[in-house]
Amino acid sequence: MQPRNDTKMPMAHTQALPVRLAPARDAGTSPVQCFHCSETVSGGSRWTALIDGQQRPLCCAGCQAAAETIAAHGLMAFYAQRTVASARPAGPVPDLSAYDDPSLDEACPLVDDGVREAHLVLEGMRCAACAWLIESSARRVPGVRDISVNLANRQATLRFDADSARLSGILEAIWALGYRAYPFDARRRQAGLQRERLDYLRRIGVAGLFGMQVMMVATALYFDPSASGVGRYLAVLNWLNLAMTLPIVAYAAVPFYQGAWRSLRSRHLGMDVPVTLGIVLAFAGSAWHTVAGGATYFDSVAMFVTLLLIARYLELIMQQKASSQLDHATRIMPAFVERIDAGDGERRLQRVAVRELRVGDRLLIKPGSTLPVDGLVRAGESSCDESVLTGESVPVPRGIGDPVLSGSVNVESPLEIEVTAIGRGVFMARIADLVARAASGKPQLAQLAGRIAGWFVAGVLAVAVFGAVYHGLWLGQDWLPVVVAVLVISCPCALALATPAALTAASGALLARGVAVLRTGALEDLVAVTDVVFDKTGTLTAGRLRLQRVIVHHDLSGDRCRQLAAALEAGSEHPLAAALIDAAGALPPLHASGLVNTPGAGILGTIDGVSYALGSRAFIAARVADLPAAADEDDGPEQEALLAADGQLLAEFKLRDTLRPDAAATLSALRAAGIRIAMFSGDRPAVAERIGRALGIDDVRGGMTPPDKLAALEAMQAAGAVVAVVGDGVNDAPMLARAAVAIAVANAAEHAKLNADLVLLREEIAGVAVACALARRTRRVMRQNLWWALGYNAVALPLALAGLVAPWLAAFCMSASSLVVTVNAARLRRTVA
Amino acid sequence: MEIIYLLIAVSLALVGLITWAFLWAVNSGQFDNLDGPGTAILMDDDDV
Repeated sequence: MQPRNDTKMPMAHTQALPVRLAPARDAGTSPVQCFHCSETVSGGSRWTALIDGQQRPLCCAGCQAAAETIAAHGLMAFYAQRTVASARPAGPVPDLSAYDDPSLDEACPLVDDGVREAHLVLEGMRCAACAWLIESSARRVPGVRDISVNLANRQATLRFDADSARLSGILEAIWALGYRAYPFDARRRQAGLQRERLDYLRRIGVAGLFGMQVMMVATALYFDPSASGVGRYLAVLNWLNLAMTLPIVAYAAVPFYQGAWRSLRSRHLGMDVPVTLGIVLAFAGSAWHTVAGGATYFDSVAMFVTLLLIARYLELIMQQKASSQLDHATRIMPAFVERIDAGDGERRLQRVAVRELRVGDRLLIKPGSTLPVDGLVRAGESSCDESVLTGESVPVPRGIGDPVLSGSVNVESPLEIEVTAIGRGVFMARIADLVARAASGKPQLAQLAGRIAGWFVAGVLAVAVFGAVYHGLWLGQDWLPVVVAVLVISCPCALALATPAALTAASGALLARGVAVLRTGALEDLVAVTDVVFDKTGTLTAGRLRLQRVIVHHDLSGDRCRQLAAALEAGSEHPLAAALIDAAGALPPLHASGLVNTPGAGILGTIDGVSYALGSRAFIAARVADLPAAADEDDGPEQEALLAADGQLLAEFKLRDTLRPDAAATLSALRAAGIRIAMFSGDRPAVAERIGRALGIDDVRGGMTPPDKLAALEAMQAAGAVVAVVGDGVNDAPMLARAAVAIAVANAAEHAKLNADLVLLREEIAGVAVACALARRTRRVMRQNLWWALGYNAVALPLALAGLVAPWLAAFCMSASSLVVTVNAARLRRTVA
Repeated sequence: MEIIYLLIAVSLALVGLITWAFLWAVNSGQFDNLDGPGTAILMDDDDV
């Protein structure tokens, strides 16, 4: 029997054909779309639902449950109104009863007599119809007073009767529709952000409304007052403007004073300092001239404050949009475990909070749950997914006596563990300490715009002081108009808008490309970056096993082998099983019975009367005589599974963690920009080497622990490199905290995201190269803007000092110069190549 | 041109009124959720 390679892609011919071009000749092959999520369903789908009198095809049990729930509640308008296909539900509704625990009452405070308020994070929401669906079905839950869903930040505010409704019941109603809802602690962020936004809105409103009146009156004063007949009323109009500018200066502009005060207290010359000086001096000078006679600048003050407030408001919204994507980090995790209490000779399971655990307690860890503490396995055999901790993509087998770490996920079967560390002693907490230490030593370099701005601010102040001294002491004139002229004509709009406008536009453009900028300064730091360090698993690779090839040893087709493997693995949660099920793709499913799972080894089952075995080489060797040894390949696959029946080897499946499709292109784009690339991995050195070779990375280091990575990063920084780190796991968190720019990928652990400056929102890493390119363009635009502002000042200032610029012309130039700056920054919004 | 005094008074009253209305709108939650209610009205609740 000759082994033959079968590398045919299973779905190539059925995948992308539109429905109407493929007449349903054979129900087994025509592609049909899932009624709920619109994914392609293989014909003869196992799942259907009776909706609007028709049997609708569905792709999975999750979509079926969601569609049936929606139909049963008479919410069919959802399917008519939605503009985007729904997200595929994650699976069956989990046990949410932990959210009813009284310890959460603090986070869901009583707002009224017997009414509690909770804030929810919603996942899977895509369009306005989703918001309507969630609101409509949550309102049907008895005891729900009100729910309001915010589509923009994917959050909801919920009010319910504390006595008659349970939070878990309401959450279940939302989960049943195929969305994921978690309560989160709104006290920390949400309320603050909303208050800040509304506060800016009020100030903009006041500044804008009064500013319009001031401008209207000022227009009359621009023209020669004596000629136009306004002259008699000059004093009246100036007093009127003074009165109407007062609310702007005393209320709307207050954030600038606070900012200036803060930056002065921290001995730093921020942009708010000349802004405040300009506002206060221009207003005070104009007020003085109102009393004593002379030119007034009330309109400049009003326009300046309004424009600047709008710029700040836009920046704030942009930041809030970016950060609301990360609110999952603040979701409340009620941490409960099943403790085994062995008293009176009988064992009882008790649900207890993690904080009540003691070292030495016995816990039962069910498959699929995350370990809350470190421990030793006392009974059971399973494998644990430690990818979050170590970056190792394949679950490691864990048997009696093996240590297990907090943060890892039990994959296969129940484990009984003895607690060895709790609280600050667990592995995760030790990593967190490492992160805190690394963050405190973060290099404060490369704050380009901050430096330029500070230097520029100092320059403007120096010119103003020089003007005051020259005119006041040297020429013996009134110095106030000169200083006000310098501050109003030079400093205001163009300079104040130069950097924020560019940064806001760049953040917006990046958000559209799937990159959230969490720290605005990160864009400036990114320009100075000389080295980028990538993590391997989940960053350069997809972090998921995929079937590479099938070696068939028997008279079977590769497709048949895939079908058999998928049927055997149907109930398993192991990543290898998921890869084999994926590989079967649109092939018609088979049904296996009598499945027996041996954790860490393999699975037995019967299909069409034949009993099959699928598992590791050792597992199959016990069932197949003269099994050949594994072929010695120099770039050996990371995982394999063998299929056997009746003592004969049928097929070998070779699986591998695959590179992200855009990894190579991203790296070459970075190289083209003159950036050195390195890869630090916690995975085995051989695997790291192979990935490194495939991508042409020279500096590849494998088998690194989190402290190793941090030490290597610090060595690079000591050698003068400015390093950006791209990572996804807790094992990268210390490095991320220390890096000049920290970038977390889409599916990163929350810990990694919390330490990130940029977060990639899409399942791709092209965002790294896009962000680098855009950061450089942003710096270019910022420099252009600053030079423009400087050049404008260099021309306007002497002219103004010489008395050659009429007030209306000065105001016009000022507006025009700020317009140039804003338009120049808006160029950044255009798509990045 | 004495009309200007009346006009000033009227404009001051107007700007005061509009500002009050705007602040009332912000404080009463009109700006809390800018895109939810706008689309909610499009959804037909009648057949529920």
